[in-house]
Amino acid sequence: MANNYDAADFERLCRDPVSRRAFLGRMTAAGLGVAAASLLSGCSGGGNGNGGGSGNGSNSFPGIPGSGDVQVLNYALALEILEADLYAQALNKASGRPQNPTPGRDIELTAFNSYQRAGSIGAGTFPGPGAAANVRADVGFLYLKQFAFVEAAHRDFLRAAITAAGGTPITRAQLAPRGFKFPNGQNNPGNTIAAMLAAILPLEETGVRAYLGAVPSISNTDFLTAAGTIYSTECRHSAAVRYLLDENDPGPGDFRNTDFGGSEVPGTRTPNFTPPLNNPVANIGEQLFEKFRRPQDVLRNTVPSFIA
Amino acid sequence: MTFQNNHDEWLAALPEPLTNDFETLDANVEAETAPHLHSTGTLVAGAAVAGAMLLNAGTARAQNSLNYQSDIPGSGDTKVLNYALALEALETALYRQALLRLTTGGTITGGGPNNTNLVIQGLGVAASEIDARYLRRFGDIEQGHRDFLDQTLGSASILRQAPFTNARFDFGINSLSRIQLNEVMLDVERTGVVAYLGAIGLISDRTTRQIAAAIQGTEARHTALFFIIVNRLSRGGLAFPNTPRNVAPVLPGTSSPGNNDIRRRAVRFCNSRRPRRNLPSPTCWWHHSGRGGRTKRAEQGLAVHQVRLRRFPSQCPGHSGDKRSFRFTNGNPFSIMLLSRRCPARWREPSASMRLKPVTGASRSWRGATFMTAARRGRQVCSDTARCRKSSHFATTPLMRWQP
Repeated sequence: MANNYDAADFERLCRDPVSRRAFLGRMTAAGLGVAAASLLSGCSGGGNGNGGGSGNGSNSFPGIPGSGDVQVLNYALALEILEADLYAQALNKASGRPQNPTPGRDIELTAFNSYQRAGSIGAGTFPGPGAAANVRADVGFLYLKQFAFVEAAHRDFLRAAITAAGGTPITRAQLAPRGFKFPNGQNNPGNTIAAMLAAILPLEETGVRAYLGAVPSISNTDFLTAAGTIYSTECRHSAAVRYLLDENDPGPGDFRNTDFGGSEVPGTRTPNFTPPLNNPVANIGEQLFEKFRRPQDVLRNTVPSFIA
Repeated sequence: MTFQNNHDEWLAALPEPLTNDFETLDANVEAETAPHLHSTGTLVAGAAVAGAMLLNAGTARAQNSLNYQSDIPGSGDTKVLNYALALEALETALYRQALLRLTTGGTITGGGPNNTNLVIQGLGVAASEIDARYLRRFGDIEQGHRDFLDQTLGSASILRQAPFTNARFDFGINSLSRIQLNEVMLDVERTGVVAYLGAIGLISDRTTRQIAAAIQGTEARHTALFFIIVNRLSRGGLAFPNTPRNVAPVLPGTSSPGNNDIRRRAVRFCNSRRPRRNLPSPTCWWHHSGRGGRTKRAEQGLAVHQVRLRRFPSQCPGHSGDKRSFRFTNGNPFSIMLLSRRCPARWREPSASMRLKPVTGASRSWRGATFMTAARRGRQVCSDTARCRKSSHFATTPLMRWQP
């Protein structure tokens, strides 16, 4: 499929009124004017924080090696390395194992069924309504150990895919030589399952928003779809974890229990559309679309808080 | 009640999307509905299936199936968005009927394609029940998606022209029990996810892609919730399931209901369907984390990964009888969507044209797992040429054969 856009297109549209007009004209002709206008209004607020942004727009991914799609995939890989690591730490903690046995290296996961929840790890207090805490904790522990392997699979897949595409996968040394930590000041996922889920949630929501923010940067449609398969699972993880924490709030809006572990992950809604409904659910506009974060925002503002 | 020593059972009861490594497209859908796909030249199997099924069920029979080429108006991105809009409209109508069926019952009236004057008998489920709450909530969300796409497309909207202007949706809703109702919603949401997944690659405008992906993500969340809801309900009112149900993972390579070690699962995901011949053929990746990984590439394009599906061929013939399959046995029109799981021929025969070369690359992170790097077209695919050539373990035909 022909790709008539290069990676800097979106940012160019944001900066350049001529291109923007042309784009809007084109989209209006295609009957997509509303979508186009709402999107461009979204980009106008952010600027792009980098002076040049020439060529491939590599400054959108500060610190991420590679160019073009390989850089985007490396960005995704960086996030998956982070997620897999922190999931493994939480899983280790929840099962009474050394939390981070190999700092700076991938944490080896062993046989799935060998993980058992440690007796010292309580259920904790869940912030919202739902089933009994002990039931939710049982399910939450299973989510932890399930998702830890899933995130590791994403990480391994992306490494393989980047290599296959002729690129060089970003290394942990490039990303975080000393490994990763939970950004709660304690370098600790918490001592209860509820606390661990709350500590994990911002990670998942970051993943969702980061992938969506990277969508416009991907050129190759195969990569786009591959990224979409991962993005979807992150959405499901987020929904499931949030369901456990508060069964009335599966997302995609901001998690309301902001007093519970700083679970709010800022994101931008795209497009900004609130439908006229006769019987709208609360915050219907918040429920219609996943939010996104621009890669440079994720890399500059979110990822550093997880770096040890 | 504790489940800590009963992980197999637990895992079998876990929602499928939560146990998959990647979003998957259900190849069985394609296989079962091949006639539909071939006759319609659909865009994306999943959504096309839903579209075809739902419209087939329509009492007014304005249209027997949706043909992507001829029934979805517009071209380029407009056509893709109209395709998405068709799905959102179907979902909106279904949610509306499903909520009435679940709760109070009533008559569907009002304008638009949902105007069936259909009398729905309610099941009397309280509005405070979890499925009723989410049916209402998600129904409003799907309606919001529909309205957004409709307004965005304006006069180009499929809702403002035939066949939708005269379409009538009848989903056989009165024949569905509470659990079946939720299973149907689950299937439709899953369909929505894979439909968007397939459609996004067809959208040429990057910002429109992002919007489509933003919708896709919410459908994924809905899917996760319906898995949870179905599991909850199937456990007889307890908060979470503790017995395997039909919604347990059904993945190629899963050897038995008790074998739920994720690392032994082969998960496949494909870049879905292309509507026209002049687009790249679908690429299929196999992902498998078991021992002795192997790489194959699909027919064209970039393929990544490996797979050795030790048990799959033998699994395959029994697939249709697999009790873990989704099934709707009441004869309603949905039943063919996922009912007869056949083993596609492509899973049985190796490709004569498969080109095999050793590949390198490995993952060090999973014990026993070897991830082979991929191959570009014409390059390398299999680390063991002789075995691969003979193996019946590899898919050989393109995932999708387009009928022009």
